[in-house]
Amino acid sequence: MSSVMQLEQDKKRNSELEVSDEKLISLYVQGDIKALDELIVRYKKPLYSFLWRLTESGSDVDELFQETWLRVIRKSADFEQNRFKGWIFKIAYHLVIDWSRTKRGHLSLDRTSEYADGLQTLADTLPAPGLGPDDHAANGDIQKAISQALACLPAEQKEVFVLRMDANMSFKDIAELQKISINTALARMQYALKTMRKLLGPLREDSERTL
Amino acid sequence: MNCADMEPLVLLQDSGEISEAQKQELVKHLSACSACRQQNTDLAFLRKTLSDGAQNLPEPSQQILAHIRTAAQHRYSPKMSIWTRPWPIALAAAASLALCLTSLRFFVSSSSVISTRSTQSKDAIEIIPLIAMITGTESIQLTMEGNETDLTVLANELLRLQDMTLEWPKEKMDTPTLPEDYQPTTLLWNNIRGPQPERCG
Repeated sequence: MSSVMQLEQDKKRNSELEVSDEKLISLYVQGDIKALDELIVRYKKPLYSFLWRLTESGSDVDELFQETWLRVIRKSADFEQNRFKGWIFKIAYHLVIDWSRTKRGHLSLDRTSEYADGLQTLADTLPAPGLGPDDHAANGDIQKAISQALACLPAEQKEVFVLRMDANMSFKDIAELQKISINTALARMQYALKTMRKLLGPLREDSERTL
Repeated sequence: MNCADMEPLVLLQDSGEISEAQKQELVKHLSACSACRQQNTDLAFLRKTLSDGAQNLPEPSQQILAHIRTAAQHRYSPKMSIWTRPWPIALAAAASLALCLTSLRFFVSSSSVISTRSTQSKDAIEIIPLIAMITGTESIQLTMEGNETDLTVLANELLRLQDMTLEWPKEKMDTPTLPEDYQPTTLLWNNIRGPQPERCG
């Protein structure tokens, strides 16, 4: 058997042996504290990244992260959904929405009121700033490039993009969360991808050049 | 179908929400359209870039993780006596309690029952569970004149401590429910979690 096949089989076996998130939360409700610990380990990174990308606000991210878990803990006994992942990201998303209501209020490129469905914004009317290869060479920071590109997205598109790409939520769940149709969610994602491709394109050229 | 029609299908394929019929259509189109194949590749590139970028993002601090774990333990584990906690925390809590008691109109009527006639229900909400924890009181007799909302919050704060019982004026309310936006009070959590309370100390 080739090592690749062996690796695939091991991976499959491990995923079968791994206790599901839903089982862990149910164990926690029954009093197994370690089960929640395991969930924290699993979601620490993706949840924090998700919050960071949506808010770009260091100190607030800490607070939102902590509050998300406190709500999970408080509502754990009521957890009846199919997927823990969708549930925790929904909690986090709602917290971000509440947070953004208190933070926004200034004229920004996110303003979409003049346009239907949040698909077009003021940002679309401006020349794309772009991220030249030199920018990346200078800072060598992929995350910085991503942050800059995400900052150019209208809020609604950014939310769909991050919910899909970071939280790995389905379009059905995203549509439900944003109270929009699946088609609108898909359209927002298409617009977001178009912008991200344009802005992160040089990054790709960099990586292809180094190969 | 043209490329514009295929774009959403590329996304649905990626999210696993594509139907069998749509999938067949997409496969057929991709085999003949390099532009759409490129879109597919771009999506994978963006995902990888985001994943690589996430490696450089900061992580939650150990202090925050410790707070979450403490809250998790507190929610479902049996009550931990104040005397089993580290002495500095117990002493800090006791000292702050003593200071608070001098300014609030609470009194401990016996070693096992706490009563309050305070109308400062907000303060009562914060301090009664703390008194109960420190003294190991199992039962709290509530004689406070307060409104139902405050009583509900207090009742739930006590229920959060799991193994305490609460006697409250039955005519005032039935089963308490935790308000959606209710947060554990700063004073209470500070004492449970460790740092000395700022408000009363």
